[in-house]
Amino acid sequence: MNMHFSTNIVINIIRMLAVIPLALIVDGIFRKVLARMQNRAGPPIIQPFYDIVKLFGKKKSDSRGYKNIFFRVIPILYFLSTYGLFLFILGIINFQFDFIMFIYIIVLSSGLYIILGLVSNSPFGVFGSMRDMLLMICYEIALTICVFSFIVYSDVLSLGQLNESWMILKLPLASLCMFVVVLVETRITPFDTAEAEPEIMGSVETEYSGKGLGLLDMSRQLKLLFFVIMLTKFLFNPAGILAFILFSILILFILIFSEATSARYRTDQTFNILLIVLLLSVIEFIRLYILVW
Amino acid sequence: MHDFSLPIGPVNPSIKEPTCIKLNLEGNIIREAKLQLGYVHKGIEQLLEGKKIEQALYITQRICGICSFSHSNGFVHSIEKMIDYDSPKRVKFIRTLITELERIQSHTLWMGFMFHEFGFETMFQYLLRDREYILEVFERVTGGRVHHAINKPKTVKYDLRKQDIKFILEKMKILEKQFAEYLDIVKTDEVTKKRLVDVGIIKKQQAKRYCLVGPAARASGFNNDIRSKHPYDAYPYLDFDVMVNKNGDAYARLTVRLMEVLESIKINRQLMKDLPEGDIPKSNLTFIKEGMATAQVEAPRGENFYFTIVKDNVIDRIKIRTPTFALINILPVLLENRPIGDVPVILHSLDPCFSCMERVIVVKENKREVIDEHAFLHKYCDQHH
Repeated sequence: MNMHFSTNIVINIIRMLAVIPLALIVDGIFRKVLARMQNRAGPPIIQPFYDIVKLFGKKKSDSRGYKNIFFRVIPILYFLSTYGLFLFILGIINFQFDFIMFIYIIVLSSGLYIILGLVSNSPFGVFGSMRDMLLMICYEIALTICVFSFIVYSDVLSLGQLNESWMILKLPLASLCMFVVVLVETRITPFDTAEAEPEIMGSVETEYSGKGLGLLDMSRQLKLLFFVIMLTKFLFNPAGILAFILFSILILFILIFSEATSARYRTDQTFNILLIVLLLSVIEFIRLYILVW
Repeated sequence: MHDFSLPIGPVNPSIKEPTCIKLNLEGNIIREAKLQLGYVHKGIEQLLEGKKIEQALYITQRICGICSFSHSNGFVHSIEKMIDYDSPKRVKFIRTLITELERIQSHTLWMGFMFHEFGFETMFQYLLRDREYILEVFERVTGGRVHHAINKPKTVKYDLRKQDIKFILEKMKILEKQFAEYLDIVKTDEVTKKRLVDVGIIKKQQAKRYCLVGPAARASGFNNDIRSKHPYDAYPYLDFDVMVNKNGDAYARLTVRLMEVLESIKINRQLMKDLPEGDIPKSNLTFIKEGMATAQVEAPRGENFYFTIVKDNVIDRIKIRTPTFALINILPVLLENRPIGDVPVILHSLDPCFSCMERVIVVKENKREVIDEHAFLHKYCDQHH
């Protein structure tokens, strides 16, 4: 029994460690495929590795915000909270009602992102935070309702027990809402309002450089991988690892396609759309209420 | 009372050249916008003073990196007016061809950046690819991709060969197909419409009051196209429409430019068809004892105005009014009461080109000088003074 337990830990540690290079490769594929769609050569697939190595090799920032302790600590916390999400989605942490903690950590990660901008001592950072704060009111609640819908429909008590397949057909509205929320969370057009480069420069990341920026970059890549896995798990959840990978690739491709083929909404327009998304998720939950009970 | 102020520039992804717009904000809404110029003042007018005509031509071609031919054309026209010279028809046709190719090239680049401003990166990349077709034509016909210095007083440097005509027509065919598709995308894409429709509206009356020029004025229903109002070069021989839109918003400015590209392709086809046979005259030096002339040409951004005085074969005084100079004054008015997300779209919809427009303006009231801070720095830190 003891032996079994320790091998399990080793496997889990390996899985958690493998997530980071996998996220970097997924980001590399994202950039390469996007570039090919945009008629560019694009960077090599292992470009994110070079970027991270370079950023981590840099000296500390000269930014005025660097004197602020939060400016140094929050990137680490943000990275850890994003990284922690994989504990749930890979089934490493598994207890009853773990989906509440799962949602809590998603919101924590978004909240830390907002604080990142506020402590960076830059008007552009503050603007990015303000935009994200405005949108978060809608999208986090919508995501919460969607996750609850899936859990209630499957009639389980933890994420690990989620074994219902093809939920996209059974809960189409919740699936759609979740997809839109993922677009907002991963900053993919048409909903990358919080990171609109020509409007507010680097947004939240304006003042960050070196290791801090490296952590933010890695968190973004981890988030992309996490949401791809989450969508596959919630929407399709096919049996077998190969089918799972195939559907993940399909979802990644849809995300890249969205990035390549649409322009960016303005903040107020994104907010209006997210309100509709929130409304749709509530409708789905009410429908579910009638369906289940 | 304002919440806080936000500087856009001098270094900002939404501004391709250094300039500064200081925004006073109330939440997300701009209450006041101040434009601060003077970052790329080159002193081009003073540089031109005392230069011989052939020397000055080289400098005028380098005023702008995008509409370089329009500047040389304006200058050459003012010189030709002084000596009362009417250039041969073939020369006129070649000049018109380069003007129109330049218009396509400039509008393509502008459109690319416009799409980039609201996050449509794919269109940006596609349009840059299409611009390459025109640059290839420039390289073949004039020898230079960006500074197509083909103009000379009384003539042009290189004649057009038969194989060039075929090459140009081929490229026009590709471009026509592409731009028809882009027009379709612009008309159908919902996000593009949402970002551009009813943003930065300029009414016709306002356009007239602010003396707007070029596509920005035509998008407000104010037609002041020099090509049709005061035809020069080969335009009297051509049959073309001037694109006018009455809506006056950023979307109208985008569609007007798109339609203008398609119209320019048509003009180029006509030029190739009706190109007169014969040789172009050999270039020789121009000597002018004394003369004064003005010239207007329609650059891609609008009217380019040249006022030249020549004394003893050298330029005595030259005044260049580039289109951006007329366009930029309306910008602070357009930005008022708009959300901050509209700044790049509104700014770019006017197609500003600061490096060719920046001038020092000194207003003298009796003995008191009213002068801008940046203008002051430039004036009194200049070694010539």
